[in-house]
Amino acid sequence: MHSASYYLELLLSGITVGSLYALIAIGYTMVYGILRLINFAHGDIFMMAGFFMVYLSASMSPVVAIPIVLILTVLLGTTIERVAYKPLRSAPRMSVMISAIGVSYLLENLATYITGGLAKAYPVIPFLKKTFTVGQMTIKTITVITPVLTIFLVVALVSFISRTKTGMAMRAVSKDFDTARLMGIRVNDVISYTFVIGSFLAGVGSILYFTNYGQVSPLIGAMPGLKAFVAAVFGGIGSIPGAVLGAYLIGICESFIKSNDSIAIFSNAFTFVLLIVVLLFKPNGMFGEKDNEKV
Amino acid sequence: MKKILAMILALSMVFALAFSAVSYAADDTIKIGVFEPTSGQNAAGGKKEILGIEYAHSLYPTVTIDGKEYNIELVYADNGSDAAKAPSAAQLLISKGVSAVVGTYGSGCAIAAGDLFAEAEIPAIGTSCTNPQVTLGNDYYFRICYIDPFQGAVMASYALKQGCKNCAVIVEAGDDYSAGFGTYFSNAMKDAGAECTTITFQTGETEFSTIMANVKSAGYDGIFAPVSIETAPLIINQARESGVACQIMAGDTWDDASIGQRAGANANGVFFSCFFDQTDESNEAGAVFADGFLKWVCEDSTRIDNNGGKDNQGETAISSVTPCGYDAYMAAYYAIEAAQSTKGADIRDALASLEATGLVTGDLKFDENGDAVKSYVAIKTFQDGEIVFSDAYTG
Amino acid sequence: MRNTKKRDWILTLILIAIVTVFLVYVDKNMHYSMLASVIQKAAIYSLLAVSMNLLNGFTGLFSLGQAGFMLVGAYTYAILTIPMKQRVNVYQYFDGGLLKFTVPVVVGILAAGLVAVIFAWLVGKPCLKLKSDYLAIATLGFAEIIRAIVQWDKLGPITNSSNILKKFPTFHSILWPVVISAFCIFLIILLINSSYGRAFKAIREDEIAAEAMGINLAKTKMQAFLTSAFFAGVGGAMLAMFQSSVQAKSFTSAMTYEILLIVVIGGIGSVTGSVIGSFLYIACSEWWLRFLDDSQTYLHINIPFMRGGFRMVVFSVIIMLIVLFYRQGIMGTKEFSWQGILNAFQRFKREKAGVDNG
Repeated sequence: MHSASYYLELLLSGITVGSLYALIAIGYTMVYGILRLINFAHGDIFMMAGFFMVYLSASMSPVVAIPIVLILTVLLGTTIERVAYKPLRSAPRMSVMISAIGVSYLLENLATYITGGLAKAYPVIPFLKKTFTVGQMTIKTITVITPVLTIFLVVALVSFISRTKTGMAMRAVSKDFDTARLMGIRVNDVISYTFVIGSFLAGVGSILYFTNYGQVSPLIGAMPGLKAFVAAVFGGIGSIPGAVLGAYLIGICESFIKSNDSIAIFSNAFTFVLLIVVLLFKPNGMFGEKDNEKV
Repeated sequence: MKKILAMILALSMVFALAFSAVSYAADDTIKIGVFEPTSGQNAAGGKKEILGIEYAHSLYPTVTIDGKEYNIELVYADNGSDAAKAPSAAQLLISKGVSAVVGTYGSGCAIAAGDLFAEAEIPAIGTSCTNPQVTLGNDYYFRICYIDPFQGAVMASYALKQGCKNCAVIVEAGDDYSAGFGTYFSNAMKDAGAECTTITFQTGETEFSTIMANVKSAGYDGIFAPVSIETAPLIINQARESGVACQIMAGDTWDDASIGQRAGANANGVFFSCFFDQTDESNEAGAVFADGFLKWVCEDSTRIDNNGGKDNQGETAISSVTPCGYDAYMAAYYAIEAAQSTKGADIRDALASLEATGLVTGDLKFDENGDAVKSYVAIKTFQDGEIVFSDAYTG
Repeated sequence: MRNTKKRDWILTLILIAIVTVFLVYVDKNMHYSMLASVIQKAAIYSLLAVSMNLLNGFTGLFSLGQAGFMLVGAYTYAILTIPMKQRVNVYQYFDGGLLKFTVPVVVGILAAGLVAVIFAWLVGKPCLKLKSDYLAIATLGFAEIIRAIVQWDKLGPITNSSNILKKFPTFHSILWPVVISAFCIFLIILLINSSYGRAFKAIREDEIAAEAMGINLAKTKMQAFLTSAFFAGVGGAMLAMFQSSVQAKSFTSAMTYEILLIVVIGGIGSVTGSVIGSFLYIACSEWWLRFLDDSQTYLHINIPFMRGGFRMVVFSVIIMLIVLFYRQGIMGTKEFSWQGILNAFQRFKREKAGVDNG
């Protein structure tokens, strides 16, 4: 009853959303891989990046604002790590996670306070906003740019981690924190790099995401954040290609679920069903490494 | 250190308890509660209604009861556009001893808090909460605006006039206004022999391209979307960007300049129903109000911001919810005057039998449910990002 | 020893008497005051916080499913107790709903707890095996799933889909929420001090050691999880009664975080702490810090940054400070005891005497 272009449209919409989840998921998976910390604030860093753009573009052209937004986002991410996570490095895991929840709460309330709880219009970045027509379908430029850019960034990141010294240090730290330290790796620096990369990608994601939807609101980060985390778990914590694959899967499934109105209400819940199924049958994710709990 | 901290906390608790017993109400003051959202997705609407209330308050700041002049004090509570936060905002107003309440924008909050007001015997006057459930079965809730079955029928007749035969009704799950208005519109359409399909989305949803793919595939010739101001531009933009060219329609919430700004040319031809139009010359009270209100708003930059800012011509418009705020305050004012009492129960009785003329949205009289008898609906449309008057329905 | 026990009993009875008189006074004279409202809400949150603490603090299971179980409790209560003649109104889109009976309030509250237990069992069966942070995210996910199920329009005749539920019986006196919460918390304390409670704590301290001691991990964890869910369900029902209306979309993860933060403020692993934390948190957020949201003028100077939302910013900063610098919270893992109070009092007297002499 539906034409092929209909399904293609759903697929495209799913890929766009999936790419955005992927960019956020990488931040999660890297931080979790190294610190074993679910950085609940990551989705809110993404949201804050959106507001940086809104407020900066009030006084400059959006294109000029892009690098500044990315720098500010990275600063925010690393500051959070220094202030809220670093002092708790020897504390029980639950404390760090509570601290992450606290930071998320703080960022959301701060954004609500600054904006008065209103959604703000996201500045238009001209070259991202064009549309073109293929056959019966109208396609936005951003729909094409998003997955291409995402894949490019992921490939760059993977080769960074497998080829460079810093990348090697990251892998070492995520394998064994204490041994890495004994080997002379500056663990704190490595953790900072992780947050730099994670926040940078969240910043890029925010530009693509909010350009697509045209507005930012204070609570917008929470849900994409959680979904990105699920994507990271699905792929196997620590595995970047896995996280990206998980993100695309979630994005596309979501798109198809939403297209059927009688089950559309489960579009968010589906993500968590997937999470539980994965955790039950493949606790280390699709590509995750097995790690044994030490006695 | 921790002992001292604990001690201080305990002391502050005792202190605050003692503190609370003291009431500050001066005996020449009567309090009116302003129950509106100033945060959350309806904040823009709430702030505009507050402007209407404050403007009315600036014109009528005192009321005489038994020969004694009382100052009217506005007491604010933010219901956060959230039915879950509404009860605690209502309790805040009740605890501050208000005699009457005006508000709110958004039916969900009004419904969630209605029973609390009734239990405390404080009359509430709804501004733009159009769902019938607000006043139904609640003797203490009144309402200035028309209700959704009426608005739904009017919009359906306009939709049919535009040639819509098969509409997609896009509503937000869990929002009483959205779900209710959507249902009444669908029913009216179906009664006229047209078809309607309801599509729901969850609060906070931003991705509508899937829904638009469905709209295209199913060949709907109209979209009716009674949704919040925040969601409106998302729906308009994503519809047009994915090539949906059909008629888009909505209700009173869309009377907000920010939608035009965010949707720009995409919003051209989108039309919606609302309570008031400032260019309508047949409404004398409305013209006087529009004049005075605009002057008053321009006195203060915060007021201009709350009114939705200035448009490209440097002018600020009057949203149709603002007169609702004004009229709700006036209804409370006249009722207090008629009741000659500061007691909620007396004011309620006065409201029930109140007949007021010269209000901005027409003469006021409440029916047995507490709903104002209204028959005027303005139809407006967007033109290049601006709201323009299109038609009026007077039943 | 026997003397101190007798003394404690007498002191406790005196305290209960004072509190009761105070509550009756407040109920009669200031029923609509902020004080009365805060007492009710804080009492309910005390129970919710204690039930969460039972899992997170005493058993060491980091669960974030609280809002889900509260939702189940609140809905069960509301669905079962809405009077027949109001159903047509409430279930306006579903022809008055499917259920054709109502149950008394007490049964409704108990059912709220029991249905929450059933859901908890379904959740716990697969999830309790998971490691700490996976358990957290899985339970958080389950809360979202439950919320979606309740909002599903196919279940509309029972749950009213995503529409509001209201008109069910509510509290007429502020005594009720306090009494019910106090009773439930008392039961939890009994449980914690029993052999079950000791097994919980053993798991918290070291799972592997606990297992070696002969504790059945799966069974004991499940016991803690179900108990916690029961009281979360009861708390959810009471929250619905307090609010007089209930809607699924408000039971978000933010609600769970709120209760978690109360537990942290009070001290993870202290019942007394959770209760004190609830009263402080609710009083501050609903009442004492409200003024931060209004623009204030002191000495004719308008303080520019005080406007809507500032309260929550201040609040979250305070919470972060507690999380970072007072990780023990107010009580740590200590509990209230008369001996403790007397000792503190004596120390205070001695110090004062020392100051006077010196």
